[in-house]
Amino acid sequence: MRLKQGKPETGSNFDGSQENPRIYKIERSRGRRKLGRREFLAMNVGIAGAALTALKTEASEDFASASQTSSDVLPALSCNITRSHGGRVNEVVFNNDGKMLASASQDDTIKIWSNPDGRLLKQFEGDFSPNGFESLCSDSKGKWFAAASWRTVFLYSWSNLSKVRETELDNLIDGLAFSPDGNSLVVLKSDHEVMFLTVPGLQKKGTVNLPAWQYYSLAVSPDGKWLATGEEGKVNIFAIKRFKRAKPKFNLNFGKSSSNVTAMVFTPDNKYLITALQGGELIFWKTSPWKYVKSLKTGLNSISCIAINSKGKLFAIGGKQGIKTYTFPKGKSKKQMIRETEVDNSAPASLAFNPSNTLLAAGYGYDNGGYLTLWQHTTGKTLRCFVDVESTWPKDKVKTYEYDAAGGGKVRITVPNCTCAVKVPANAHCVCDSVSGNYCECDSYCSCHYVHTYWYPN
Amino acid sequence: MNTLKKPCLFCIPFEGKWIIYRPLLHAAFIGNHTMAELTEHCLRYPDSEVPQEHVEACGFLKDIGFLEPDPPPPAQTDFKFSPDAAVLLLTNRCNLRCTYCYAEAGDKALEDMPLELALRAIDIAAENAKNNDRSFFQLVFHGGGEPPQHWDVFRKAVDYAESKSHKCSISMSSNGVWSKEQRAFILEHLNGVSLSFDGTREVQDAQRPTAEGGSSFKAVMTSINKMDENKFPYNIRMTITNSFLEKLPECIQFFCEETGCRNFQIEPAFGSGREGWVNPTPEIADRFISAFAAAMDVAESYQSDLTYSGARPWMTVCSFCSAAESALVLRPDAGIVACYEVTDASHLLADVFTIGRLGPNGMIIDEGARENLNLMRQERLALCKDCFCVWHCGGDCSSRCFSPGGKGHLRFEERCRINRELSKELLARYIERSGVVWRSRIEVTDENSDFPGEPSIDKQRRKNDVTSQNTEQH
Repeated sequence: MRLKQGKPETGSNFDGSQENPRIYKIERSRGRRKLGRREFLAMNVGIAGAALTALKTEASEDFASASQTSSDVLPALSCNITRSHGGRVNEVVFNNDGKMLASASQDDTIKIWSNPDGRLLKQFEGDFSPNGFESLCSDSKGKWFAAASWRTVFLYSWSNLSKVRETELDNLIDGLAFSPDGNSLVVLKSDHEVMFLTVPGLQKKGTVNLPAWQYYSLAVSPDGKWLATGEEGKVNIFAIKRFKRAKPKFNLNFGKSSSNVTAMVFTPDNKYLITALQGGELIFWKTSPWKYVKSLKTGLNSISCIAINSKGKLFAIGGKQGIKTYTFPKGKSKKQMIRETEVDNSAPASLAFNPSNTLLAAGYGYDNGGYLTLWQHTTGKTLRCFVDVESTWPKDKVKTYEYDAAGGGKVRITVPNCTCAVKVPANAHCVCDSVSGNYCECDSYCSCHYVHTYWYPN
Repeated sequence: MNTLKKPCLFCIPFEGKWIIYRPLLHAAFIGNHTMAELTEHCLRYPDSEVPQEHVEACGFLKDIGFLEPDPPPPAQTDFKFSPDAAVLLLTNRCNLRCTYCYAEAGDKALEDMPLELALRAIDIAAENAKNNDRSFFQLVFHGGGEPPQHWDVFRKAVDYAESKSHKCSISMSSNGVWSKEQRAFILEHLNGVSLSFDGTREVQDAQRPTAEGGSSFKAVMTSINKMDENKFPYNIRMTITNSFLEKLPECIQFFCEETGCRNFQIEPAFGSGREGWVNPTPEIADRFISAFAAAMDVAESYQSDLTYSGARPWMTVCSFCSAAESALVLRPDAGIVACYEVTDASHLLADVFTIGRLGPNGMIIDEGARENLNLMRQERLALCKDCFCVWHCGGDCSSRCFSPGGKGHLRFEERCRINRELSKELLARYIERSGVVWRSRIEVTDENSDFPGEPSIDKQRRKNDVTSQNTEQH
């Protein structure tokens, strides 16, 4: 990136005869930097150091600007007191450039977060399903992401964060995946039918009826050739072609009774399948030809989820004892990450590497609350938890402000209701790093949880 | 540099607008020309009335604390020299032959520090720390050679420092090429290492070959793996030469992926050999600036920190480094110097930076030399006062900008341009990350200091005035 020395424009004297004073924000578009105008207003409401959630209600399609205030960095609040969702986070995916993260939850919402600053950009509601959103996937081109709640499949656009289409099927949905070319959506229904839908129209393209077994997990190979379903004691491999009734082309039996295949993932090069068993064991399979390669004991009592990075060199598994990363194909253990929280020690329900393979997102939670945590897997440190103050902070502890946004519409932000409401004195700075002259948001239960942004040492 | 400057307010051209920057407040945002002028007016005439159409903008400046008075800048050198850090330039032996080594380590006549000298320096640092109510003193082994190469003295000095009743922090700069015994000792007894490591195998072996001309990469990686395994704190200091400028991002990615380190310092070496600092051509400077910016992108994607000594807008200093102020920097020949690079008496700037000797009974400080050095630094700072980097660069590294023989200051050349461009790039990134306004912690290390202003350059004061700290005649 070359630095540019632009010519400053010739302005007037500040008496306002020609141009009004303006301030600017640096924005990125396709990796290039550009300046965008910002308004002066709302600078005195919940600025640096406060936890903010901005929800845009109507109007402006410019989601990026509507949710911002003067200082858009959110502190990395501890998960001890704050959550991402009102229910377990079932699935998590990154978009193509890793700057956004989508989480699907049992609370029947999908939330889109800005990474790594943690702003909540958008929220989508589901189909009033008691289990909420159970499936979520993103296509390889970064154009769409799809989710399933109850019987309904929803398709969304990454570029403008809008819902494109929804379609209701005739049965509950157990699993969802995009085809490699992004033109089809593979839907596993609870009646053991695999349905192929067109993208973006969500029209039925064809179906494949699977044998009526109990499936615990589903994986589609990146080249779209194989569909793997996991059940007790074996993995069934189906060749997906011509949408006919299929019987498994291969059965991968691992001969252990009472070992459900709880999670599976194909490597990005399509050469291997990694299966995770309920007993905490991993089995590596070669796909061409299909054969057993090796087993790996992980030390976890059970494995709830698995993810592999885009290079296929590192994979992560999650269980109650935490998250473990391993090299592939050697299976050398790298790091173990245990979430320290007094609230619960649940196993992660989902894992996802970011596109540059530097971060690992994990979704946790029980029925009462879900947590989305970002790990730096190379060091094993937690970078942040994504926090939605409005929906997770106690209602009597927050205050909501509404003001007119530039370009029309209203912007609503919710901040913790500060009981001390103490102004930070000039030349002093609170532990929450509030800009001096503004209200300190250090409440009795939050002062020790505010952490300064981690990018630059101060 | 076209700037609108008022005391401690700088407006830096940036992509058609201005970065409006208050360095002592560590605050910056981007505005148009009118905003820059309005800010200047509000600072200069805080009680004046502002036109109605600018009330909102003024309110913004007040809300973000941009109109506050500057905190006092850091004080100039306290003339009492009472160092609580012993920095030992232990030896000029080296097991590598780095292509850019400023000390030509390994190629000169051997100079090893006698043990007795090292122990004396440790005694002084420990005593001063106690007298100054510091909770610990420091023992640092620095370059001009590879400290563990003088193993016997190294080991004994560490043991001696640890045996003192006052707590000690021990660290060193090293190339990481250690024997098994050395590695075990270092991991057990030191508190940290600044590791000189230049990147991928290709770059490392080209720039830092062994004394026999072989590869040093594997040995350094072994040390790194051991430090990572033992969670031993270290940072990586990387030197990049002209031939490998474009490899800088790749090297940073390598560090992030293959080591546990997350703090990297990059320093350029623009010369073609072991002749020390050379100012780059404008073309080379541009390449370094671009490569560094690209490397910053890579480091950010790995949540790692990348620093360059000439661009530190998060700091507030009145001198580039503290070698002259709080450290007893000792050469093997017992010379006390004010610069880590002046490793022997043949250095071009030895006269300027040698400020005393460590005698059998204590430090013999040439107060005149110290005062002279201080005056030169103040002169430099005054010459730099129009530059927006002045409060974090502190007039730049003295060994880069003093003319040999103590006769003046070198011109502000490409290094200054590099410092400014990268500082501006950092400010832009801070603003981008913060949203609209960057505010950071304010590090004020001293109080009651005036802005340096124009020093009184009285050449008659630059006399050699040798004083002794004890009563003995020399």
